[in-house]
Amino acid sequence: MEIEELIRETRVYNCVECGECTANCPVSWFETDYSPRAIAKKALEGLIDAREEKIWSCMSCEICSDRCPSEVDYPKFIWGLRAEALKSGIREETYVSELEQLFLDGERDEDIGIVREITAGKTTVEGQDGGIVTSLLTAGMEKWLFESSIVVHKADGFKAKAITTEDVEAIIKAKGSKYQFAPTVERMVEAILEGGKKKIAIVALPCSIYGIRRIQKAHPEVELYTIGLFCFENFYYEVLKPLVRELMGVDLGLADKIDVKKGKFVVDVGGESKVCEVGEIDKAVRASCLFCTDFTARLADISVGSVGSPDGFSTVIIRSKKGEELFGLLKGLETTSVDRDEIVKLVRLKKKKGMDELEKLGGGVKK
Amino acid sequence: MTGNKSVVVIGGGVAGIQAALDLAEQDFKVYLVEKNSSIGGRMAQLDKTFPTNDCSICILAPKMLECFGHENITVLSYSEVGEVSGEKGDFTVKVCKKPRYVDEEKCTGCSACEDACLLKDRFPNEFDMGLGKRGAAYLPFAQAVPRVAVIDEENCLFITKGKCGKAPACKEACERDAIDFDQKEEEVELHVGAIIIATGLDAYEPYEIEEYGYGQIENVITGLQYERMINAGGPTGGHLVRLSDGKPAKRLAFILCVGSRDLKKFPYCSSVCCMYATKSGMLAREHEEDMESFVFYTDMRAFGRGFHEYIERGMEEYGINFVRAKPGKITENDDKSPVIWYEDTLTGELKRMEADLVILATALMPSKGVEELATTLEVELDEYGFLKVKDSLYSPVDTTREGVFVCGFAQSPKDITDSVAQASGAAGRAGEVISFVSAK
Repeated sequence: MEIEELIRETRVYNCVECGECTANCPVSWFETDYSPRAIAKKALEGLIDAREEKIWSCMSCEICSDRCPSEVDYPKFIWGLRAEALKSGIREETYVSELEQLFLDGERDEDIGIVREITAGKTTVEGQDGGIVTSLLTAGMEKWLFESSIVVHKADGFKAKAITTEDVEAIIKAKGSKYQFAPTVERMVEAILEGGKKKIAIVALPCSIYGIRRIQKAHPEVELYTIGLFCFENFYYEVLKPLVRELMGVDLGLADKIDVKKGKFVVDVGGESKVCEVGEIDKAVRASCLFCTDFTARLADISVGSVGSPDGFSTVIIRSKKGEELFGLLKGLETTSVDRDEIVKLVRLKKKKGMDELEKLGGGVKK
Repeated sequence: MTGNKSVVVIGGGVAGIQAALDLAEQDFKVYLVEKNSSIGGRMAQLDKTFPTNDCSICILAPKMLECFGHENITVLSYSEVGEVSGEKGDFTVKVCKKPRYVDEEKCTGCSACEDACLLKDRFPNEFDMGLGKRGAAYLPFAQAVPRVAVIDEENCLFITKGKCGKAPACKEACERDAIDFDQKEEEVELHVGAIIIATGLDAYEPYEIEEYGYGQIENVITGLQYERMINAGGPTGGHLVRLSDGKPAKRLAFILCVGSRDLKKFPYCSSVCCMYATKSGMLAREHEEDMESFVFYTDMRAFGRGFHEYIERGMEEYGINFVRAKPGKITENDDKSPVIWYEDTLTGELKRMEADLVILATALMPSKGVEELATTLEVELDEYGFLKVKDSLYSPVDTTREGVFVCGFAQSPKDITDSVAQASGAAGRAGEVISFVSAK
């Protein structure tokens, strides 16, 4: 896509330069030369160069487009520029590996990233699978590894909402996957800028972990424990809710648990399990997820997910010493072996899908 | 053409009042229908008017009284239009007069009932945009016209529970025996030759814009709430205070375009906020020398005569700080001061600023109930819910139905000056229609 076409399609022409995007951009608060508004302006002035390093600052949180009064689709605009950059020989890896070197410590696995240890685990706590995330947070809080945790809980039914909490009860209540993006990183920005909190644990999706690491680079004094969640794709709640009602005849807002397993989307509600094909809810998939290539949260201290473990267990990938320290606190842990091939299969599929979409988006770029 | 040489004006704000007076002065009979218990509309709530900083109610009150006392005008307050039939020159309009449970003829507006009401100061006062409190029996505001009390039937103990003390307290207190719990809804049938719609505006309440914290952060208020707060007759006696602790508010932040110029909400410009925010900053400084004001704007839209100069005066004489930014969000400090997160788009710097009060200049929209009214009148609305006109250039006050005209904010966002001018235009067009009618 030519830049002009990209500008048209993503409605950059609508920009009134109000700055609401940049004021809300978590990364802009720390990387002072990165600003969605400024990039839009540059593009409109015909000065944008896709090889510019700044386009890799975006973490695809979509807060900018969500709050833009002019309906500019910045995330897609940035993905479009990235697609073009990739064509001109720039490698996405460059930006990830720089952060890996800074924050992680382990052996490099071609597919899974930096790994110190990989295992399947289960605690006595009830969670999405093995209750690992909840247990890591409560254990860390008890041992004062961190003062507060940034987690995603359910509000107004099953809508994901990011909160900062020092309360173990709130952490336990936040258990379970939401399959939605919630701007956890916004809470982190507040925690850093509003001061006080210097030791924080944060549970986030792979895309957010990328942004969190970029911010952390600018603020090394903040001691962070990052727990990444495996993520193939997420959904817009506003789109998903009516879709679920249409397909399954249930109110997603009343669900006890939702799950994506082996190509099925499962909603547990009122003691019953309703199932549909994941393909059927495609149109609720978050736009940025289409282009993402990171399944296992490659930059987290610990990544957790269900793929690769037997039922009731969670796969745990420890990627740093910090991750190891935190994992070491778990009590009553039961472990078993991981099916690495199953993880690799999904890592590769996610990567291929993302690259294919990017290629599609970049298709027809004139060199 | 046979029909009626009279006009019904729907809406008793400044536009409706102006249209009614213009027609009445030409010796036409006018019925002014107002859904609230007093005429005056939004202008009655404002403290001062721009760009002259004149006292709003001081200009409006004489007009309200003139209207009410005019031999050719019948004011039907606390009334709504129910049914409309007929055609240009010969309409039948049914008006439903809601019971106010107070005899309009007997009540002198002494407020004895208000003081006696057992539920005094229990409910948010609509006129003060919820900042002040009222009872179940109350006077809408000091300069209300008609100056007649009203009893809120949803809350009154006697009406809802059948019991209020030994005898209804208001009834006991009233020396004129004006309280009348037997009042029923009344239907009035009017025969008129033309209809003017002047239903005005409502302000958007920005609860759904979560990042600005309205309804969550106590010191975040709306533009109309500010008008009531800075008004000497308002709930704080004209003192600007932090709602969290009642301490003086010294640092004010006005945020423009909240919900307006937003393609997902109200895509149009409300047209008055740049000016009223500037006015508000000036007035704050007139109240207290050490008051600081910040106006966060996207573009300054000061298009009227003298408007640009007004903003320059605001900057130079009153020290108002204009910041080119649409803030991203507002958070709250430990002492409950709101903190504004923004990008100064002139420098590209990201900043946070603490304030005592944040005032959201929210989108102004067609008043609630206009859709229903449009259905009743069989007139069309535009995409935003404003009354559609036949041709915005050549017939800017003619609705899509013959004999039905529109003026003021109901037609499109505009300030008082333009509303009044358009009201005179609508009165002229309505007069034209009824001039050629020979009475039945």
